[in-house]
Amino acid sequence: MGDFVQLTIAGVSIGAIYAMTAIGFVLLWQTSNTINFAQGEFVVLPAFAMVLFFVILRFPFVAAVLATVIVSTLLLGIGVKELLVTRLLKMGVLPLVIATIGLSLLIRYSLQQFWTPLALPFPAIFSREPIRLGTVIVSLEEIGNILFAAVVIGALQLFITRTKLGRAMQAVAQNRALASVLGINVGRLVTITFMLNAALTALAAILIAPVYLVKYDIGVSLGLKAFYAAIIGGFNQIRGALLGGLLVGVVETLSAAYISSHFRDAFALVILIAVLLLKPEGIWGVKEEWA
Amino acid sequence: MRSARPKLSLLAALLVLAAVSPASPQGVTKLPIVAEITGGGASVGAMWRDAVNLAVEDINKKGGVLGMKLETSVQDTQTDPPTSVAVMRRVLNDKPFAVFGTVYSSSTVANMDIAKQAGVPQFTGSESIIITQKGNDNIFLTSFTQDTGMAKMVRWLLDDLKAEKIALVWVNNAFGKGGHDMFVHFLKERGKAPVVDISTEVQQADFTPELTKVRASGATHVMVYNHEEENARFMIQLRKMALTVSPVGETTLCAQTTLTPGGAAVDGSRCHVGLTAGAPVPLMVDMNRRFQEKYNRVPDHNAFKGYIGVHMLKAAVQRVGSWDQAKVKACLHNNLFTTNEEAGLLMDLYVNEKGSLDRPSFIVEVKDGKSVVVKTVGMLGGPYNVRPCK
Amino acid sequence: MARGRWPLVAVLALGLLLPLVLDQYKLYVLSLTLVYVILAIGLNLTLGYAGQISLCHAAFMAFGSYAVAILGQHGVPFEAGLALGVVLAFGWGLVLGFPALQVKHHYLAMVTLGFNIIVFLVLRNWESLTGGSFGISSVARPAWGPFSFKSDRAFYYYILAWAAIVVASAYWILHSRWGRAFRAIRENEMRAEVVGVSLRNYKLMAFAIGAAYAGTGGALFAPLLGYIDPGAFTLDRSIQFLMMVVLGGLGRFEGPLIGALVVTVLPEVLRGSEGLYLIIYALSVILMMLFMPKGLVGLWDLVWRFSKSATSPSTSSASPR
Repeated sequence: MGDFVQLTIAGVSIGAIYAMTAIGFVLLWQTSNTINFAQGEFVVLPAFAMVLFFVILRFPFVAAVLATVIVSTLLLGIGVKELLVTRLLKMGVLPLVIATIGLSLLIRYSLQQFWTPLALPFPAIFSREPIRLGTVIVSLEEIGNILFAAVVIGALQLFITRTKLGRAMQAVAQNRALASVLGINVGRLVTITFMLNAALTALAAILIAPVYLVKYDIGVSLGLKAFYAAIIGGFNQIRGALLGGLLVGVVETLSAAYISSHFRDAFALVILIAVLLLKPEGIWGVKEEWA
Repeated sequence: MRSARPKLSLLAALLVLAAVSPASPQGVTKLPIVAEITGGGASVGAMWRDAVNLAVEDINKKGGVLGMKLETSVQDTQTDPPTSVAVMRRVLNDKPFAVFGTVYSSSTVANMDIAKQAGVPQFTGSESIIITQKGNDNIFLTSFTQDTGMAKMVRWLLDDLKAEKIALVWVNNAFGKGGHDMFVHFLKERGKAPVVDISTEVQQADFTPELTKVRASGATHVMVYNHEEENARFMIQLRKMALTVSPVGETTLCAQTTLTPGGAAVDGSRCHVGLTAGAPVPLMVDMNRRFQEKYNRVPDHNAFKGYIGVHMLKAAVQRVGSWDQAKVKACLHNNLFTTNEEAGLLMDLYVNEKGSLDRPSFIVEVKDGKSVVVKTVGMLGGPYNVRPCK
Repeated sequence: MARGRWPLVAVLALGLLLPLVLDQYKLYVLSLTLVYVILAIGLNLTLGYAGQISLCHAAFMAFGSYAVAILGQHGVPFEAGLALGVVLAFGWGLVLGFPALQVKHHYLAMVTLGFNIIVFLVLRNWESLTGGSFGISSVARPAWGPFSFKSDRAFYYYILAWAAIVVASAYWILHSRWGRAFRAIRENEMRAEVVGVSLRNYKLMAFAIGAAYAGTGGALFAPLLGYIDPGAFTLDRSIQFLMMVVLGGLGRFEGPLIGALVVTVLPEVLRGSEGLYLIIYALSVILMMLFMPKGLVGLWDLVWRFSKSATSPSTSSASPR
């Protein structure tokens, strides 16, 4: 029993990381029909930025976080939107998908070539001292990840539902043409969404760096899990991304322990396919219109 | 008399020329490097390439081999087997004497038949048993294959450490599977089996399933056989869960590329390694120093393999006495090479009939983020003889 | 009629004569390109013409490769292995077609992606059948009685023959009512249905036929390389084919030919840049999407139109696409 609790906590902790990555992904799809295949790399780049600011330049932690978020927002938020998305959106879903695939390869291999192909160490943000609760051993790192993700997601949810900007985003997500008629500057809103996504992935990077270690290819599996999470939970609801992330994390961990480690990557996939066939809008999702 | 003068002056001119000009232009032997410079194996390929270049530089400074200078070039396989085949074919077009690479076993298995067809000896950094199982007399490893390595490992684990219950955590790819199969095989020979046998994935981030299973099994030792980053993550999480099991490994657990990201969590691990920068072998220490001077980083086992590979070729060519591919290949089978005849080999080595090595190795313990050699393990077989090759 | 055909004839002539002068390295690259052309044509059918996002092309390829490799180990003739691989691929293509009926776009991408990963895992873990991570080596090349296609040149011609069959059959399909139906589905599903196109069957076929071509390509890939392991059939490989088809030009007949050529030959040409070319490649993909979303075929069109207007001022008839 103790093992089960141990595994579930680990699953929830890693699931929180998936959720944080998945949320921005969902936001982008909602407001701009962008399937961002480079979402994983949107986390890796800020992770490297954190190494630069926190480890190499030795900024104090908060300053490093701020610097990372700013860099991420500028490059991956405004930069990507203005240079790539604005033009490609008009051409339909596929060109943008291809371009984001190209972007993910570009970021990945540039980091490998110009920085390092090796994994860089990153200091733990939360303490790793083991805390014993019966047979279960946790550390502040697991708890910290979960709490941090909860706070960020909660804040985001408030933003979306309570602020004017947030509600404008919702309007655009539901019906872009109508939102435009109502006077919402859709283009500007999309830019803000991209910036928000970049900020979210930067925050996710802070959680991920100590656990995954900072290497150019950690975005690959992370991005994939984020997709699963977004689709399983509900591609058009933030809480869907949260549910999806947690579900993927927990299922992965438990099934690797109790069923088979050889097929570790398959279990979340099976759930994904089942969801896609039975309820494609996701468990907490809402049916999409024929946009 | 008049007709003799032009001949005399010509002779005089020739004599002057011979005295003044440098020694007759030296021939050049081509030794291309085919390695993983981009893709998943970038760090590995880079180490191999840098060390081969260092070795060639060292050799050329001392005058080359049998009057020939060595020349390398670098070709990237992208860590992709079909690409490595294309690259190998391209490289063979230039009729090199020998090829250095690839390091990744899945690429080597794909491209080694081509080198064999061309009769160009191939020195590889691969370690997987699938390479020697194919009966290719054209391939030469620069380390032991997993059967020798694991044989030594198991012997040390059971005889020295008196390990009772051993858990096995291994990465599910060609590398990990080869090691897993050999480890289990040699344990079985001694009437034992792992109490836990659980596989992991490349790029895996969370190891709680593995760690809980290891803990539940009551294992005294855990054999950690993943790639370097995964080992680092595994060890960090092992310490977080305050497991009391003793971590042991073969090469990868105690490699520098595990120690750097893993930090203090890896301290206390003990490994059997074939090659390490911390080896108390003067020749290795010296190579380590020169590598760091030139490249500003510590060589890992892939670097040592590359360096030694070039010198294996040199030793064989010297022993044969000529640049003859067939004779050199024959010389590199069932033969002992010592550092007395060729210091660049760094350690005595024996090449067996399949082209893989037997060589002394080391037991290291990780202390304060560094691999410290605590014991030297002799060759597995022997005594071996030096066989002449002329 | 003849004018539209001559580039194809020229290409064919080149294909027949080149190997006589090429060294073994260039011959290998050319052979590999032909194999990739076959695979790209399949994906172009599914994605370019019928508009169905498929991210599991490498999985269909694997059926062909492993069928040939495994059966070859037991002495079964190559063509039988190829047939089995194609049937398997076709069958699974049909199966994947069913989700395609229910979901669209990114959802479909996810289902196919998931399928690719599952196939990879099965290949890796079903050791007794596939050799697992160790793969299968010395994959046998076809032989007809005493005559063997073992030599590089002979095998090249064998591949060329199959490529010709694939190109011809694809041409025939796309110019039949199937092709029109596919295009109708790609343009607007609702409208297609209204007009009487049975969405269901054509969608299934788009997947199945595309998969069958992939199986063919896979069957030729294995003996060309000589060694296969599950790592050759991952998601990365599927994405590589996606790049090929998009770069070449989606939904255009020449698209896969151009795309396969560029993607296979470009790294060889850029080899000198040692490590930078993956970056250059990724950058090219992005730039291409921004400025030439129709693919390189767009360039080809320009050249074609330019040469046409230069040679004959008369109005050119719309060539069948």
